[in-house]
Amino acid sequence: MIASTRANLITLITAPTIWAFHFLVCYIAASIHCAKAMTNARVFLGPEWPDVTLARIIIAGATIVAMVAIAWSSRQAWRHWGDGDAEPPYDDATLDDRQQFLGFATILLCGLSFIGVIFVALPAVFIGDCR
Amino acid sequence: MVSTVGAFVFAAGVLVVTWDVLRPKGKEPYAERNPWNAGTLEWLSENPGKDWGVRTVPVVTTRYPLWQQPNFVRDYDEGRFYLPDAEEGKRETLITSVLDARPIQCLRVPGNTFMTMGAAFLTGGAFIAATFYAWTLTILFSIAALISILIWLWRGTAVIPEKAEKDVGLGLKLPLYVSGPDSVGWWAMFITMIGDMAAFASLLFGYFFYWTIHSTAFPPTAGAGPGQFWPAVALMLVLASWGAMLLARRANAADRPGNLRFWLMGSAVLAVAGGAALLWGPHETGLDPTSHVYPATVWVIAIWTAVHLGVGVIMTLYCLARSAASKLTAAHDIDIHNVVLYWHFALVTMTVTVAVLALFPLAVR
Repeated sequence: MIASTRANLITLITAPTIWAFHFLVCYIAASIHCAKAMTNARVFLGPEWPDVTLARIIIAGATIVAMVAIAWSSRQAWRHWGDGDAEPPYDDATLDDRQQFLGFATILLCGLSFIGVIFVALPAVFIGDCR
Repeated sequence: MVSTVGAFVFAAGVLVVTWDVLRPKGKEPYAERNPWNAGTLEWLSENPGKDWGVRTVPVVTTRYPLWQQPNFVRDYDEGRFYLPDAEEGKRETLITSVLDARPIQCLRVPGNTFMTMGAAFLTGGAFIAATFYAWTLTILFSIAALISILIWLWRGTAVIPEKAEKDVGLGLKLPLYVSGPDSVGWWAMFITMIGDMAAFASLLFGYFFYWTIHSTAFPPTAGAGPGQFWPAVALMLVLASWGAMLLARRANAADRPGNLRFWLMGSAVLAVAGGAALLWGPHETGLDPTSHVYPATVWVIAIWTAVHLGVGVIMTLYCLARSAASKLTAAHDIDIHNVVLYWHFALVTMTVTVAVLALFPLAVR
């Protein structure tokens, strides 16, 4: 279903789903790491903030996996988009219109998801501790 | 000064609209149909309105059907599309595929009934009584709601039609009874259980939240419940119960009602035993829910899962009764498909419960 020569509902939502799971992984990694590092410290009193290197490595890995997966989905969507003789805005009742409309919509969603994944990961670049 | 003038112009515009809304219109004629010659379906409605919402379900192949499809309005008015009539006097609608809107089923929807109102009133009563801590009343309302919902399900759902398929117009024959992932009931169960899993996830979040804010006491040191033995027994029993449901579904598909009833009963017994074993773990290890947040959280998650097993048992016994009444057969099998779907989710809930309550303390201790 995810890898298909014909566009379908699943190929359409693959990239946003990856984005959602990437967000979940980043959120859980950062929140558990910092919550455990600062256990029982409702108000921070130590000499320096706990570092988040482990969470940053997990987030970096998840980001690379997510970007590769979205790139793969984009390549497939690009093929769907080019697969036919229909003209924009692809609103005729033909199989080519269906295929190219879904392919184009998927590419737009892939672009949005790619940027979304980058923005979700950016705090891990700029913020080096549990502040 | 310019902005003051602008404000007055704006206020004058509002007054014009207000006057147009409020002015007496008793002698005005109705507006003609589709006065702006628009191209989309909402302009099909007539003034004054008819007794129906949609005269017939049209086939739309263009973005602006009123402009782009010849004789569209005339064909619509004359009922030349799908379901222009209700030959059997039943309320019917079309079920279509998601992306292509290809018709796949003619669905009979319920008519006017008090069964839904009764179920809603009694369920609401249970919640209202619980709000006021009237626990006896809550339990009585809950039992009455359960009975009411069962009556509604028995009489109002999975109704076996008088014929397998019907002509819905344009030479298309569609089935009246559909089961499994093609049916709306299956998807209703799926979506309900996604919501249910979200509620379950919020309970698990509670568990892990307390784990993050306590350095040592959550989960406590070795020896504290619910242990590993009873959760493992419970998981095995529920796994067997789920397997029995799969065999029940297979027996029904092979048209063997005797085998179906055997596996349904076996599944119910195994599920009751599994729920009891799940609750026995924290009980036997002496977890007191009022002593600390850890036992309280363990009990909440275990009870949540046990209650879901109980609901699953009610569904399984419902299938048993439906089979005995010949309402669940090889040809009319929507009940067993939906109940097996519930059991898929129940097994996931059970597996996650045991992994969290029994294995997670081992991993972090």
